Amino acid sequence: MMLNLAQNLIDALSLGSIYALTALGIGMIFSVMRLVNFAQGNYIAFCAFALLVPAGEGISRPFIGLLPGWALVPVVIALGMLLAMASEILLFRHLRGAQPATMMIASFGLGSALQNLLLMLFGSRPIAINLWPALTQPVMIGSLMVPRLQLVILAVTALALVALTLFLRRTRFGTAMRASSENFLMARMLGVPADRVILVAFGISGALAATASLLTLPQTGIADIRMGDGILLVAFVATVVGGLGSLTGAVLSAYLIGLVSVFLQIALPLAARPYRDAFVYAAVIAVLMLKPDGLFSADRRSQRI
Amino acid sequence: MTMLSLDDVSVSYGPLTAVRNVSLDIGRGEIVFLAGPNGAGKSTLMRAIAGVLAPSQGKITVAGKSTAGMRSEAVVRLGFTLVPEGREIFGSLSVAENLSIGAYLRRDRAGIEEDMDFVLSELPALKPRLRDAAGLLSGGQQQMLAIGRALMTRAPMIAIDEPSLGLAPKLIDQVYDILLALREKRDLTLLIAEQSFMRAVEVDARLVMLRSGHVVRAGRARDLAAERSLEGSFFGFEGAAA
Amino acid sequence: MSANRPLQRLAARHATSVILSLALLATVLLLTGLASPLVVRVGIGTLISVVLVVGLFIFVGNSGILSFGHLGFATVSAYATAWLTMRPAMKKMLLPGLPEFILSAQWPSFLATLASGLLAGLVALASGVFIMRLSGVAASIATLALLAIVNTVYANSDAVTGGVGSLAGIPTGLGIWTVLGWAVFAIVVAHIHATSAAGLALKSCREDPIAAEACGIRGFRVRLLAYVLSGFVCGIAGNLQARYLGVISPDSFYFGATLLALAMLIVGGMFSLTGAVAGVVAISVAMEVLIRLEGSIELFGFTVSIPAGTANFLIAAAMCVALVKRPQGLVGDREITLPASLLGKLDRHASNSKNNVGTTTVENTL
Repeated sequence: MMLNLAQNLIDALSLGSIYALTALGIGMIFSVMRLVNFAQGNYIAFCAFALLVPAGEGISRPFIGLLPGWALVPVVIALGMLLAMASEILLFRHLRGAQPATMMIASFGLGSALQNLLLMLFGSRPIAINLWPALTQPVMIGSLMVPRLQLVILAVTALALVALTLFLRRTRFGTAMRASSENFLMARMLGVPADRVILVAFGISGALAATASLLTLPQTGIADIRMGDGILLVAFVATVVGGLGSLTGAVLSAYLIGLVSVFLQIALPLAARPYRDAFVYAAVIAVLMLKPDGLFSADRRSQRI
Repeated sequence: MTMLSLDDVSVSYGPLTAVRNVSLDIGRGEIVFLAGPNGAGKSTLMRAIAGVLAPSQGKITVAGKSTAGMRSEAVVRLGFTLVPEGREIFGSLSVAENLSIGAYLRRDRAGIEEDMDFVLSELPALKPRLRDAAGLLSGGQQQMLAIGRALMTRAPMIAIDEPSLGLAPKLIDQVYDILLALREKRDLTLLIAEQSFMRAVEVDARLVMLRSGHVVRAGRARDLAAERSLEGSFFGFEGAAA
Repeated sequence: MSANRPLQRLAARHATSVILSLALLATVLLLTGLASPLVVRVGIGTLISVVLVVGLFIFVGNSGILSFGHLGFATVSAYATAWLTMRPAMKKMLLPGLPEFILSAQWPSFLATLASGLLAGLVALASGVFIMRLSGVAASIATLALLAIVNTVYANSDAVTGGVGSLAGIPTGLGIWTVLGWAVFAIVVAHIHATSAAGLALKSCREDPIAAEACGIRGFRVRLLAYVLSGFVCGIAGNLQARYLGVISPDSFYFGATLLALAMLIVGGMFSLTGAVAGVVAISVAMEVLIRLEGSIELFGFTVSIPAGTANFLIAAAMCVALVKRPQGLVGDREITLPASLLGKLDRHASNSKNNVGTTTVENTL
């Protein structure tokens, strides 16, 4: 029983990690420019297909995928960053000051363009990718058998979170980014360069998408042009439930959703299990009704005069 | 030397013109008050100088350079910074972080440290709160922080939009004492917007009265105050006054 | 000012819906008179999108709250259509979990449309009682959660919906005139609502919630009303879609379709009924033209094959360009109406009042 619980907990945490990385990517961009970027999920798919050569329907021919791990990881992360930064320079920069709804739909347009680009190049069928097969081997921790991959996911996510926190808290540019996310105009009036702050936010979210992509691939073994869609939906919800603009909130809610999903999978009676997601989303509505500003919205900006 | 020069500046929001044909020169070390009721165009004018709004007409020159087409990041580099209405401190950042954002453009580590010490000695209320979130400060402390943050930019000219807004009279006196002291020590040029012209008379400053976007009176505050129609030009019934 | 000019007021008030309806009518006449059956079919699809997006506009346009949930109402209605109109023998085979009285039912199409629209409205009411207490982003996300709930429930209730896969066998044969009728209905309903007291109250909540509440407007009520009404109209669209294709699946009404409908609204102009219709027409026409490009074409004697996805790629790219060029949408927040000069003439004969100024807000946009 205890073993089962521990196993389930690890499942929940690794699921939550993927959500958290994506929610963080959405949150980074939202906090500096109030854009809900629906293309984040497509960045994930793009990074997965970057490993392959376009060889036609369903055929797997590795390209970057042939590189050894030490070279592959930085290359894919760099590609993710480039893609995200290119979308800022080519699209979102020209929509500064537009309604949030307009920017959101533009991001949907971008995502759709990316998805169809992949469709044109690789076809619609999922493509098998054999990335780091050694990771699927289980390791024993005491009497607990854990897939090595899950441990890697947890470690990498923790590392990414710590690195990002240090960047935002301890560096000059990070502090400027936090200031901009709170009051963009004022930050600019003090000399913080607006375009660079936003570009860096996109770069970070692209890197996070690449990370999520590389962590998902060994688990599923396939690259699918729609692979980011499901993750995006959950991450998007997590960003809002956590309190828009609060990165900590986004990460915590992503893990919470992972936990609730795995917990319901065990706790629900067999007949109700297929409806698990409906229960998760009903809980989301309930949470929003109780705390419309989000679970973790630490709004310390209370004006005292 | 002229720090700021406005030449026939107008600012519009779409079809609405908020500031019309304002011309003004401010020399280094001067203190100038912009006074006028709500909607006179004080904030609009200040925002236009700061590069937040683009003037629809006319020319703004800061420290000898035209700001045409410049964004607010660039105007700070020229040596002009704005403490906007409502202070706009970064509430979720600590007091120390707020001050360090003020020094964002600077690279002189030693100078920044020195200025940090200077700001804390001039604004001692901030010292015990350095690690606290700025949003937790009182209104008066927030105003001090906003001024301190502006000082950290090392801009020789600071514009302050309604520093007295929402503060108790005693605190307002304190804020002005500090501002005047800072002006002496740092050779600052100050442009201050207030609804009332009384403070300008008190500190014997230059006064520019705005109403509906126009300059209606300009000159030494005490000279203007001697004219009986000053209140009239504030409220807009000049003709009827005498 | 216009109180003593009844004709002018009447015309000014209804001009938008009348002009939009006439424009659609003219297009349909043109299509049925001149075009091939294939093009007529495309016209039917476009008109169904008009019903859907106008339905979406009733809530989104007036409240300013982006809703992701309205395709959920279309799902509910589309499956209700299947339940009410499929042949009983087929239902026994494909949907054995349905209760007996539905298994044996085979309703006439008009009644089925009304009933499934009402069911959608009912689901909107039941969910709106909770969700409409929220506003802003929280409300948006709650509607997204609702969409996910509806999708999960329908995709997993195999015995009554056929599950994730497609459910075929819904009687087709939907004529273009029926669809036009419903499109006009949607436009008229949307326009009456937008200009009614409840619609204006809702818009005032959109512009300034605090001031609106201070005027005694109860945000929850006016939001809920618009939500239910738009749920009903989107339900009608779901019914028409089911009868148009004869085949439905939960995922055909999911996130992708939701975003496409929102894109049509926003590309046209989020706060305008005219924009809703213009957005549908612009995107639908673009899609139809571009989709023809796919497959292989002859070019200078060579056969060039254009891969699948090209059309949608171009549409998405065009949409981004359109949003950059016109972030307020194609028509902004304006409405098509009669020019002020024309409106002014209406009552010249009836009343001999002074030289009139005309309503200053009206503007001809197309």
